[in-house]
Order: sequence, then C-alpha cells, then structure tokens
Amino acid sequence: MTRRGFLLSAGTTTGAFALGAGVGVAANAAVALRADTAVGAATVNFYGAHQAGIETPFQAHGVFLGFDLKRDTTHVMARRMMELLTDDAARLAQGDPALPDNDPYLAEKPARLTATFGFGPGFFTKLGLSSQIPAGFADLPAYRIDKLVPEYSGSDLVISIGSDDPLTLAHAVRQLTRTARSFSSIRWSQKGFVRSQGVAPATQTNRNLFGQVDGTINPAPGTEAFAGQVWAEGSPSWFAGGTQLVLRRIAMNLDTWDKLDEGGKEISVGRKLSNGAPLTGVHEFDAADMEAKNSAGLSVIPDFAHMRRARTDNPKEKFLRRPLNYDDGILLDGTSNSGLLFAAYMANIQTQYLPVQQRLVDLDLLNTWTTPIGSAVYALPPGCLPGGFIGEGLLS
Amino acid sequence: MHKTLVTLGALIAGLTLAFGSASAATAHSELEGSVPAQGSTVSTVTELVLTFGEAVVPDYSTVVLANSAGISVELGAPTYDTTATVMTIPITSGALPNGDYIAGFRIVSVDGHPISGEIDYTVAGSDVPAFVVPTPSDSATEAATQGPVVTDGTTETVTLTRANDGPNVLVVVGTIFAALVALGLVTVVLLVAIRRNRAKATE
Ligand code: HEM
Ligand SMILES: [Cu+2]
Repeated sequence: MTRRGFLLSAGTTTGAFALGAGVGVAANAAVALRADTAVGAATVNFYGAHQAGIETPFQAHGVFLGFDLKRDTTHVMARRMMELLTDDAARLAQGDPALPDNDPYLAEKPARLTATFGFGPGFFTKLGLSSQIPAGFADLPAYRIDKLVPEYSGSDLVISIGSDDPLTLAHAVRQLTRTARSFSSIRWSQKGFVRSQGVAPATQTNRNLFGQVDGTINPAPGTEAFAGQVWAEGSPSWFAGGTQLVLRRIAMNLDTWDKLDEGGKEISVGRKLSNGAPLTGVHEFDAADMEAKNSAGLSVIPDFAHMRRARTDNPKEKFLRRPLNYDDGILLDGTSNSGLLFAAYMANIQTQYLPVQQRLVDLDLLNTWTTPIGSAVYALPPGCLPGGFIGEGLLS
Repeated sequence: MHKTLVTLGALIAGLTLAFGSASAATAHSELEGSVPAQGSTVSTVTELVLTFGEAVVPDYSTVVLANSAGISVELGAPTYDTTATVMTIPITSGALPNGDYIAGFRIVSVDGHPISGEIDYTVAGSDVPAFVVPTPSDSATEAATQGPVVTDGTTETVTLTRANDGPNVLVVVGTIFAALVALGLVTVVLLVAIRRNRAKATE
C-alpha cells in the first residue's frame, strides 16, 4: 500500500467511526485508537485554483516565515526556488517527506498541514517585476499608533505554514526554510496558535488572549462573499485567483487590560465577553443595533468601540481576518509578551483594508491596550495544479 | 456597565428593582461633581461642567443632553482645563428653558477606564421661552441626532423652535417618540430620574 493509499483508508475508517459514534455504537479499544490518530492523518489538498491555508479552517498552530532574497537572486533563481518550495509543500501536505528529508518520520502526520507563499514589495523590485505588482498592493503607510520593529516587519517572501500538530509544523518549517535559504536569508519567524482540535466545535469562533470572541464578522468559506472579498480578479493577469495579505504583529497588554472590569472590557469592543454577542443582542450572530441608546441617551455601542469603528456596510471595504494568537512567554518583570498575529486577506489592500485601518488609527479604544509592533504586506499568487508551481504566472 | 444599561424592557419589568440594583452595582464613581449638580434646581444653564477624579482622554468623550420630552439638546464641542479633569460643554442654543433635563456622559480616563453616567437636574425660573415641538412636516434636514432618552424603534426627527422667536433663532434637532406607548415610558423614566443623588458612574 502506498503512503497515500494508507492515508486515504485511514481517513475512511475515521469517517466510519465518527458515524458509528454518532448513532451510539459503543467504541471498542481499536476504534478509539483510530479516533486518536484522526487529527494527525487529516490532509488539506495542496493543489487548486487558490493556495491552501487561506480558506482552510484554522489549524491549531501556525508560523509565518519572512525571507529576503539574496542580493544577486535572478529571475531564474527565484523561479527555481518557487518550484522547489512548491514541491516540498505539496509533499509535506500529504504526509510525504520532502526531497531530501533527514527526518522523514516527522512528515508522516500532516495534521492538515498547509504552506502558503507570498511575495513582498521587495520581491517585485529586486527581480525587476515592478510592472507586475497587483493593483492596490503596497506597504501600509506609517501610522501614529505603530511602534514597528524591523525584527517583525517586511520581507521579500513569506511562507505561512499551518498544522494541527506542532511537531509536524516544526518539521515543515525546517524543510521549507532549508530550501528557501539557498536563495534567500531568513528575516524573522513568528509563531501563533488557536485552540487545539477537539477542544471546541470546529465551527466555534476563536478567542484571543484578551478573552474576546474574535472572528465573528468574517466571510464564510466557500461563499460568494468570501470569493468577492478575498480572491483577486485579473489585474495583472498572473494574480487572478490570488490574494493580498496584511500581516500585523499587534502586542496586547494583558496586564493593563486585566485592570478593567468586565463591563469596561465589553464596551471597548461593543460585544459581550461571554459569547461575543453585540451589547444590543443576545446571541453571537445577532445583528448589532448601532442606533440603540441607554437611559442616559448614550449609544449602547459607544463611538469609540472597536466594532463600531471597524465595521462597514460597504462590501468593498470588507475582508477576511484570520489572526493567530502569539504568546512568547512571560517577561522577566512578570508581564505578558502576547498579542495577535493579525492576518487579513483581501483582493486589494488599498481599497479594502486602508480605510478600515485608518478609522481604527483615528479612534479605537482598543488602541489603549494594543500596539502594532510588526507590519508586512504580501501578494499571494493563485494556486497551481500538479506539475505547476506557486508563482508560475509571474515567474515563467 | 450593562447592569445599568437599563432597557425599556427592564423598565417595564420592574423599575424600582432595576434602578436599585444599578446603584448597588456602581464600581467606579469617578465623576466628582458637576454644574448643574445632580438633583439640583437651577435658573440659568448655558453650559455643563463635569469634574472627574482622573484626567480624561478628550477623543473618547461623549456628552448628551435631553429634556423631559426626550428631545435632545444640541451641545458644542467640550473644552478641558489644563489637567484634563474639568470638562466644559457649551449648550449651542444658550440658556435652557424651564424643565427637567438628563445629561448623559461617557468618558475614558487616562488609564483606559470607560466611565458613564447621567446627571438629572431641573431648570426653574428661567425666562427663556419653552421649546415647541412643531408638526413633523417641519422636519429639519440639517445637522442633528444625538439620540434622546431612549430609543425603541419608531422615532422621528423634528426641529424645535422657541415659542416667541422666529424659526431660525433656535434650532434644536431631536428625536421624539412616535408611539404613545413610548411616550408613556419616557414619563416613567423621568419619574425615576427625579430621584435625588443619583449621579451614578455606570461602568
Ligand atoms: C490586537 C488587535 C485586535 C483585537 C484584539 C481585535 C479584536 C476584535 C474583536 C473582539 C472583534 C469583535 C468580534 C468579531 O467580529 O470578530 C473585532 C472585530 C473586527 N475587527 Fe478587530 N481586533 C484587533 C485588530 C484589528 C485590526 C488591526 C483590524 C483592521 C484594520 C480589525 C478589524 C476588525 C473588523 C473589520 C471587525 C468586524 C467589525 C464588524 O463588522 O462588526 N481589528 N476585532
Ligand atoms: Cu479607572
């Protein structure tokens, strides 16, 4: 049996188990073992019209790797790099080792591994491809709320890797880094996470380290709204089916945040901490009543509330938020070193993202506890088919 | 703060109970004083002055003023003393006519703590002519709309003029309740509002 065939049959068995459990069949030890390995065996198809890892439901763990092209990298070398990276990513996604792989056994449990590639502004300029820069794609302007550090900002290339298993992820990071480093140098790596598989229903909205339900208002995968917000149309043509990524590392001061009482925390966003419902509603997905006033005549969802500032009725200013939490341990003074790897995906940064970000810069009570310390933008090419490679439209 | 975000529903359900628990839940009382003071009766009011225990962040301040009919009174931009603890908010139209008023405020202190509350006071002995509510067909198209006391669906926007003056002398744009039920509830709100010593910080 090939590795692939094995995985497929494992998947089928798991499916049957789930069905059995659903109708109340008692699980025997053998079946329980299968369930134990279901998370590890699960795969996400690497190939397709769009790159994996964007419309893919959150994996528990993620890493963003930033690389800068070596000074003398040519168009041909960049193409070679993307061919090799594509090959690595496709193999690892189905639980096969990269070629070569010194630790092949670490590839065996993909746990929905995806690797997603994107090009920063420097990728285009260094390779003489400025004419191919997608519409609306450019570095963000400097914002007064920003305290950016170079360790987390910018790069010519990004590889975003996700998996439900941190060991698999670490292995994939290493394999892809080794390939990329033949052509580029690593600039930074940033690790993040959400809840582990099986802890909460897969459809449940994540929480961030402020304890907030974060991700309620987002386009649903597979919908027209998602496609309209996220996937670019053909300008330039190589970019059709691609998307643009804004990656912001936003420090969240958990220590000052926790000095607020629950009411103060809720009013800073306009939603309840318990279930993410708007302050004017009961359930998470209730529509917020932005006009509602309290007995003193004040807006229930204040003018400074994050959601009032961020929300829009303009479909052309919406986008996908797919943030991961980061928690880099406790600092020596006992304070937190935590925040969001705020990742937003959209067809056009300029028209969709900038207006929203500007409103939040101008006024947002959450800014009291949050500080952007890293910032980068990337153009993510469309997906490819077997035999092709990511970025082929640009580099062929 | 929602413990005191008393909804119409809660009002209907049990007024006394709702307000009683609101006072009990007061966690931060950082409004140190105001002019007019909570529960006071005054003759001339041309501005509101709020004094807080801690400096406030001007960007985040909101103050609204409404009279007993639920008509909102237009306020100018707040100014602050050098310590940012004393906030002065001019009343755009100048001195207020007689009546009962509710000022709602929401500020954020420099530590990021949002505080809100209301100040209820009465103007008596003012020689300013009372507000007149013209028919809805005179509706103003301009400016407007800090909301009134409460909103509950059907509302409409009208322009208010003083009884003795031409229509342009004073333009206060507000929202009144279209439904009788809502008007009744406003009265209830005010009855409760008259209770003394109720400058409550609600967040
Ligand atoms: C650490 C930083 C941030 C935190 C903790 C945060 C948290 C939240 C929370 C709790 C919500 C409400 C639930 C939801 O709809 O997901 C929300 C909504 C939202 N946030 Fe943020 N956010 C942060 C940064 C940003 C940034 C940088 C942007 C974009 C520039 C942004 C854009 C939005 C948008 C568009 C919504 C949905 C608003 C709506 O339509 O109701 N957020 N955020
Ligand atoms: Cu405080």
